Amino acid sequence: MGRLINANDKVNDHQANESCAFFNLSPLHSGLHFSAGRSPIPAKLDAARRIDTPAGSPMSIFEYNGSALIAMVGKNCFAIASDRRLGVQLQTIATDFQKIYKVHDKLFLGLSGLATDAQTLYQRLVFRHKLYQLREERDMKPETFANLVSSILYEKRFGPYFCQPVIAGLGDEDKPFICTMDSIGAKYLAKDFVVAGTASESLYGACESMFKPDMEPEELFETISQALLSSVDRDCLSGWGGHVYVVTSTEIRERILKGRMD
Amino acid sequence: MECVFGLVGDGFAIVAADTSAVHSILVHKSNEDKIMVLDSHKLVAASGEPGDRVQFTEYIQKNVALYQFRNGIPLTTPAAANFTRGELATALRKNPYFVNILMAGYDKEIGPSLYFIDYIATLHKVDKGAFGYGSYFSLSIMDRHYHSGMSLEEAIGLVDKCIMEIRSRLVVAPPNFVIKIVDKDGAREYAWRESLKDVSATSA
Repeated sequence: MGRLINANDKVNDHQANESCAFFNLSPLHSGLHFSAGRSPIPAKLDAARRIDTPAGSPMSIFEYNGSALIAMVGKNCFAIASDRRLGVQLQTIATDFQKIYKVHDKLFLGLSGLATDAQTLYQRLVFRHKLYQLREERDMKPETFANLVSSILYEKRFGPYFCQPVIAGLGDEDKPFICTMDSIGAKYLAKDFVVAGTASESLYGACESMFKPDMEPEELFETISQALLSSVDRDCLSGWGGHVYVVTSTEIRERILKGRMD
Repeated sequence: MECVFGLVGDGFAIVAADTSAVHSILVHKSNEDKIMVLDSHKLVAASGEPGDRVQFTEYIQKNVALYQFRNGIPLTTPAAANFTRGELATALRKNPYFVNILMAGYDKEIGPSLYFIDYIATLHKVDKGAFGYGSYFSLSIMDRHYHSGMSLEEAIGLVDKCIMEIRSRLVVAPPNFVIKIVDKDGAREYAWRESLKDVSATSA
């Protein structure tokens, strides 16, 4: 997921200054940010979205709060899981922060990245969905909702929300639908799983090895939980437990995971 | 560096803040009250850029009062916290306020609550929270000794432990602190913890 985001970082200095001034960034640098996580960044490739940490080495704005999200497809069901940490760079503020929101009974939205933008974006999307419900007298289909999220994100193309959403729902005939997108709304549909967050590289690896098609809800829950916990254990910015929703056409099961609390 | 922290106890919420007004290396005054009484049952402890702190908290206070005048009932603590977050979020991409806020309140149906609001408008309901360099010490002390449903004596003891830790371990530790409490009887000042009294003009 890190590679998808990097393509957006190429903004001109002026825009970078505006959107980044409040994060105490140096406006002198621009360009593509190729390094993943917290490896040293060569000076001329510094992105405009670095943040200075108390420890010294700079961080990306997407890593300010820390997050990990997965959505997986099973047999007529889906599961969506997140970690529970809310941090401010290296400090943990809370261990019960919600990153997955229910839009309606068959549609869940997970928002990773900067927490303030996740909250703002969630409020805007719930507003739009409620209006849709009033006008159409029915719930939004997941595919439609994904398009809505994508256009709302692209509206802010030159001053984006620093979030990566993960959308999971049951569409027509309760067929599971998952997708993710980058911070400016480029949709990525998948048939098996999607991941987002600071731990995304680990999550990709864990999901790829643990995933099997057409899993029943119980097995899907086990798989997504193991993939989440093993990945966040390798990422210092996410973790402190997990929050898993397994949704079938008849029920929603919400479970809290206890993992390594560190 | 400004130290603000707070916690929720049994039927009350407590916030403490340092009282130094500092500009670079100069201490302008050491009895600056950074915890504003928002209304009868709400406290806002704010830290950050001094001008923004005063202006923004007063703005919130006046708007909360306006709501009460218009609608005849006061805002609940979650409503006030969400309003504050909304104002910070709207200003964020235009003209951001560099103010971190801990909002403590008591509602009859909900009981005591504490809200952590970052300067970039991250809102989260917490049992204990802190801002500033002092947070590295006070959060750890609270992690060790806090449990839900603490009595007032236990909570004040914990607040004092945090203040002692900040005083002994932070290099530019603020000398004085103010502690305010909010419970069913309202929001009020509880105590000052002073280790350095301001010298009055006559004795100088």
